[in-house]
Amino acid sequence: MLKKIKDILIIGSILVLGFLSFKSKQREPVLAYIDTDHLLENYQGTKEATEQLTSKTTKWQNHIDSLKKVYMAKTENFYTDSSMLSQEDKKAEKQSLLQMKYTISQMQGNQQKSFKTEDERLSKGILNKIDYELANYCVENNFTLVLGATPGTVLYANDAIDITDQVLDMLNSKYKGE
Amino acid sequence: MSKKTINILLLVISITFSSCQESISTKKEFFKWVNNPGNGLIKKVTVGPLDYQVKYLPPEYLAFDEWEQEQQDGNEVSLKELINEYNKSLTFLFTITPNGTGGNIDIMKAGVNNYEEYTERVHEMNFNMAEYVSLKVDEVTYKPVLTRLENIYGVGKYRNFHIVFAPTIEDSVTIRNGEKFDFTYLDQFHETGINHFTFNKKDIYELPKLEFINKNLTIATNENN
Repeated sequence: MLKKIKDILIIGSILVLGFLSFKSKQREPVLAYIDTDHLLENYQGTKEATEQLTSKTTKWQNHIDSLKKVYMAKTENFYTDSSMLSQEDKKAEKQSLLQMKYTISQMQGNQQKSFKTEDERLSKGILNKIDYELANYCVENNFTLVLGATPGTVLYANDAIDITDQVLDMLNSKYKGE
Repeated sequence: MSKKTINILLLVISITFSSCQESISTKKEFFKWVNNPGNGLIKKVTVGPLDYQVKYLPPEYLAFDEWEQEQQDGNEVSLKELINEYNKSLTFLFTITPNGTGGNIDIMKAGVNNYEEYTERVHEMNFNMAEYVSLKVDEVTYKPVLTRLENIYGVGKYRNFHIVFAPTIEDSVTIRNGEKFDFTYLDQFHETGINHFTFNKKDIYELPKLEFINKNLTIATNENN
């Protein structure tokens, strides 16, 4: 009887130890979320890309505006002086104005296209950088799941699992390339 | 021993150590020193499958290399003059290398969809890199005067670019006073956006004592006398 109890106890303790060691190996999932709007808005990479794009657009726009001014002045002159021009000169001048208008609108179209390409290229760069650094950060800090949240997509989350600022600090310090 | 005495002792020790300038006696040692990231002349950025590295090449490094080459070719050139010449510019070696995480693809071909795009990339990397690289010191931005893509004849998947900035005499004052040297690369080829590589002035200008160069300069001076 005593031997039986002993055996049961031994087997029981082996089972308990086994269970405990199994439980200790199972990690609690670590969840967190990031306010993606706040992150993107305050990431140095986004700020610099926006500045760069704005400066380029302003330059392009100024160039177009100056061409438009020349076109307007030429058109005004044409209507003022048209009574003094021969039919042939009038036709030639009208043709030249039309050509100028067409060139300006084509330039405007090309610049819009360039802006879109540049915007896409810079945005992809920002997202690729964030994705790469974030993946490393999550592995290093043992996160199981990190959600990207925008206002309205998460109904409730405890502030303790909001890692937006930590991630933002990490991203901005890496961005400097020091 | 009082706290004050300990503080004074610590101060004396730290001054003594900081005044001991490291000295380097061979070219090999110097190249090893330059290539040690701990000395601040190499900055790295990794984005996904690509590693970007910018290495500042000190004038002494470039001058001695060229001087040795000229000597081997039997040409008489002054090491001092070469150093003075290289002192007028800032040279960086910019390297793009695939790190294997996205497959070991040649950086010339990564993300390229057709032959037309490939030729465009080859053209841009060969002749237009100056458009995408800049150096910012104390809010003043400089564009390179020379960018050269090194031909590696298909031996590797990486590419090296030699980038040279040559500030004017007025600019060189700003540069000498600047604390941070921000080398910026605007990537137009691999979708990594704007990349910064920030060097400290101290690392760029405070090199160790280069005994092997000083020795050669002394020999040259003695020969001239």
